[in-house]
Amino acid sequence: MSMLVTCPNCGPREVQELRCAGESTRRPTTTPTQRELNEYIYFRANEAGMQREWWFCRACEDWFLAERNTVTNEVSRTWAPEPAS
Amino acid sequence: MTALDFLSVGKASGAVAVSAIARAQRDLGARFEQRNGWDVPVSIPGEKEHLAAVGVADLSHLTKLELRPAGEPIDGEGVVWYRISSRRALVLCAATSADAVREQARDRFVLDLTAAYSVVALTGPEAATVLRRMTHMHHFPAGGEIAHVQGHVLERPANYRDGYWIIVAQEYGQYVWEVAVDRASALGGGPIGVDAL
Amino acid sequence: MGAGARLVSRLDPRPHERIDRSKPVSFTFEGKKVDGFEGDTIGSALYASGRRVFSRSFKYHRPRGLQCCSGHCANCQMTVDGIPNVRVCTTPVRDGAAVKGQNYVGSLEHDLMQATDKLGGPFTPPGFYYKTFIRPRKLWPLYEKFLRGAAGLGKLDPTGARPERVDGEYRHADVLIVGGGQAGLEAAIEAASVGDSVVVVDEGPEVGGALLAERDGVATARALADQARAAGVELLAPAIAIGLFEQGFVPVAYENLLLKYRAERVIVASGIVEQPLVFPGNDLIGVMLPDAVRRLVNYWSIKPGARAVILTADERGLRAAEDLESARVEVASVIDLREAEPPNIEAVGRKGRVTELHVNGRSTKCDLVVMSGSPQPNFKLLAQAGARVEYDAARGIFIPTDLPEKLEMVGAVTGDVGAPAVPSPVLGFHGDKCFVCFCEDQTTKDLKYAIAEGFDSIELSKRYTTVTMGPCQGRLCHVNSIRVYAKATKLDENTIGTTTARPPYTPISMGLLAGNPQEPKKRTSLHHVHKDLGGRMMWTGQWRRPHSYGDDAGAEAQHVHRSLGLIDVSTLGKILVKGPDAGAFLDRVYPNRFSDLKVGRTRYGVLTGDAGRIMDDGVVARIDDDSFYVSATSTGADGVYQWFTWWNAVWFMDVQFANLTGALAAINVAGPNARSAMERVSDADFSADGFAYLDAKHVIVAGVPMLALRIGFVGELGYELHFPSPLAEHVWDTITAKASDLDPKPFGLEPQRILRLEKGHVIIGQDTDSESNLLEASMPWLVKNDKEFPWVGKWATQQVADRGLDWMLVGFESPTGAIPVEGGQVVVDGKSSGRVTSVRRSEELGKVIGLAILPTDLAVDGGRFDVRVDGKNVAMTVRLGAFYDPAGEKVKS
Repeated sequence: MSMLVTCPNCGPREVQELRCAGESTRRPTTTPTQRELNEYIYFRANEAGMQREWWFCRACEDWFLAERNTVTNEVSRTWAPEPAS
Repeated sequence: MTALDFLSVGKASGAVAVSAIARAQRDLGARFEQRNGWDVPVSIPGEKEHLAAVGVADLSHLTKLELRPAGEPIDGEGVVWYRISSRRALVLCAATSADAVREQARDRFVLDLTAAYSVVALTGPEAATVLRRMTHMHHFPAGGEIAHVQGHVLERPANYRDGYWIIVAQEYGQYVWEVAVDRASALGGGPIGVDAL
Repeated sequence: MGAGARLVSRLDPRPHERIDRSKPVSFTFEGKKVDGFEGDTIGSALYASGRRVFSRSFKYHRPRGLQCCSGHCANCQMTVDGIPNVRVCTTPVRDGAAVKGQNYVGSLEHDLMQATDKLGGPFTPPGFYYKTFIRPRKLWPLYEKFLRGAAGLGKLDPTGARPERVDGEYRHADVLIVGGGQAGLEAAIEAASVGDSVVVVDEGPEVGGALLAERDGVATARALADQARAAGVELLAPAIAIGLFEQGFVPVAYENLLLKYRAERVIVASGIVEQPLVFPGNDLIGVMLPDAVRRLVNYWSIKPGARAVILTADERGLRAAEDLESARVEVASVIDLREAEPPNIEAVGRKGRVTELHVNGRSTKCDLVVMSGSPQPNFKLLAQAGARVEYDAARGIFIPTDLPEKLEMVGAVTGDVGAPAVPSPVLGFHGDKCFVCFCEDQTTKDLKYAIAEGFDSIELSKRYTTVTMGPCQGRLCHVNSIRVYAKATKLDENTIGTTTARPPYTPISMGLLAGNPQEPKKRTSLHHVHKDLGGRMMWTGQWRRPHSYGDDAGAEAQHVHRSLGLIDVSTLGKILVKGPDAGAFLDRVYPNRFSDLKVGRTRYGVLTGDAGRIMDDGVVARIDDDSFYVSATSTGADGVYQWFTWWNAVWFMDVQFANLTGALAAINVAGPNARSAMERVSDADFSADGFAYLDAKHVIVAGVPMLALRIGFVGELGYELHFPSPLAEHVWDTITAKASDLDPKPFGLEPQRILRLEKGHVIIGQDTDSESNLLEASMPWLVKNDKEFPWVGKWATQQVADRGLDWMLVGFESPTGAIPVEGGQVVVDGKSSGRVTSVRRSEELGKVIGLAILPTDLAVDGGRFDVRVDGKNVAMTVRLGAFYDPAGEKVKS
């Protein structure tokens, strides 16, 4: 891989300077059933297409979110996370 | 004593601080002088010849303060303010300017990271070539991978000769300095003392 | 020029020639001096000196000579100054270079291995080696020795020494143009005219591309190059674009540099590749492509031969004929394949050199055959980058289409190759030695053989026959192999398709890819102290740490029990967690509670993920109301920092984090003399009451403010001192000097491992793995489920509790003294049922102790279980709790 990904702080960066932490998940807010827990921990949509992912920029040491096409590696959008309203 | 005094080199008395690169330079015959509590490599054999191509100097004795949030730029004689993100900025300055910087940044949380970083300076006509052989970064200041480790590169910092400062975690200091000296030596350059800057 | 100069083939000076006759250059070939001029390549100078044999073919060791003169084929690969497989036709001469042939036994002219051609040839079809040398099996070592000796091209220095320094260099450009022919240079000038930074890379000896073969073309090329330079374009040649990668990333091999370009736009102007014709004897020396002879004549002023026959499917052969005549080469015959049905053609030679050409039985004497199988767009780089390649049946060419983002093409590569010409691929389809792939010595017969054996897809055939896998990377054989396939299988070219193009475009040295070794190395600020003390350094992650300071790690451990030891623990991860929500944050990420930790106290913590698996551990100290100082394992610092910051990117609590790992040195001063030692270097209260076990205190030691933690990882009274790294040598030296009568000695990682094992302390990653959870790792006391927020890992840990524990991590002793290996199998009823995670011999206890993961029913104090040691089951005894000082009196003393 030699793609560039745009860190919201640092601008376009070589992909090896970033860490892709996989697709974003939603942690249960109340005690999950075993099935819900396992889905949260282990199951991923594994889209062949656009998916929302967590990325970490090693340069500014901040996390950001990205929409990446898992087929073409095209990153359509990156943004800093915001508090849930 | 405040809770974070144990981070500050400057709070010690009767102790001399040494850079992570001191021993490697001493082995090359560098001359050291004590300045503001640091053993500073002021000159090193061969530095005149090295400067004609590219000199590699160790500026690790500079005071480094992290400001949170980054806030407005800090200015002052020999003070370099570098914005990492809106959350953080790094200020590099002489130890004697540290109080003035803290005063300007009194609206921010100031973390003394003098001990955390090594600073390797490149200067001379081949400085850019050496840098290109260590990192893909080309717009400065910037953070990113240099010699396969994370660091920051500043260009033409205030009051110093033209060139670049490479800022890396101090535990990588000697390694990055060695890579820089290796790349420099292929171009006729090599280590220099800080007074040659 | 020396008296020994033999420039037998050089023409009289011609206008616009490349060479500068006023500047002689000389080098050696196989030890003998060769003269040339500036502007020559090694290949042109050798040819001018009369040399015709340039290499030996890969398999049959057939003599081969110049074929393309454009850097495409592999016929001119030689070893130059120790570097194997250099294409000398495009490598500029340099004074004093030492050039050697390769792939022969004896000499290039008389290669003893040529017997494989005479004897082996007919008997070495595809797969021959695999089929033949498989039996008898016991002879394989003999076969292998012979085959390894015969295999490969060129020789590497067996000591691993590198012939020259190489460097990698990152570069950036707005526009990078691959190919410096007319189209490439014009595109460069245009791009530069709007202010873009532009670089042109060309695999030839200089830019110019096809112009360099034209009469007076050098002048045109020069003028264009000058214009480009004047516009600010950077021209690099010979420079090879190895491949085209995402978003304009193009590595370029240039001299001893690997230039890693990142360009906004990449324009491919790679032109065409002239295709050989396939007929018997088409690999003989003297059978050349049109541009090869035209470059010899027009570029280097060399007379390529005395008498030529032209065999052409297009205009190119005719142009070559004109140029040959201008060089007073007799053109004996021109056979235009467009005018007649493919005749029956065969080239015949002596000692590998062409001497006559038979056409329909009629023989013409010649020392030169120009073969032109019509050009093909040089689409390899584009195909490798992801472009589709389509066959244009009317014109007989493969055309790149559907280019990926940031990629453009101009010039002949787009399919603009002039008049169409579709030659029969095989003018000797049934003949012998009709070479399709020159690099790998594959003939039409081999391809038909492969098809007959069932390798009927082009991709399978490629793997079986290795056609297109040689150093030319398919440039001269790809199309012809498809055509042979089409003819043999009666399928059309589009159905057969092309094989996948892969980088590198041209083989380059591994050394160039490797660059200069730069292995990141983390050193603590006490690194040189350890070396001075004789520390035997080892890797732990990227850290360099002392394993021990001598041969006897056991004695080093004993010294800590008896007196005073110092260990550098600066590698510990150190993270400041600060803010009003700091305690609440830690309550969420740790199973236990930290919000109630008192300022000045420490507490052990283990991190788990939501899957309940153990990630890391460390000590957390509260250093003021809203500040916690968290330690992590030596290799876990970055991971823990990212873990904390990630959770807070979700939770947005009022807390911030600073990774202080390198900023702070840490020394653990341990042993019964530790208190006395500290009292020598500090005025602070180090008494048992004033500085209690698990206290964290701000103290001044040796003049340095520091954070001292009273913890007991190694099982003796100890203080872990955290302070700025640049003062580490000062602190270490002061303690060892002031406490010299207390016999302070350094101890390394290995004695520390013995000491902690005596206490039954767990090392994350050694005694736990990616399956370990808090309950089965025997840490249930850490789990505090009464916290309001569901801490990370709570639910999964509860699931483990609900299902019941299958395994337990427990201590054991070896009653027989047998020492199992770490990872040794626990055996129950003949089945593997757990494993030993740590084991050491303890001098202090006089026995072998360890930790093991066991089935829960065996994990009871005094329980016995078997471990496989040297193939035998050996009984071990479970011991719960610490082996040494189980009441903790020592650490609390």
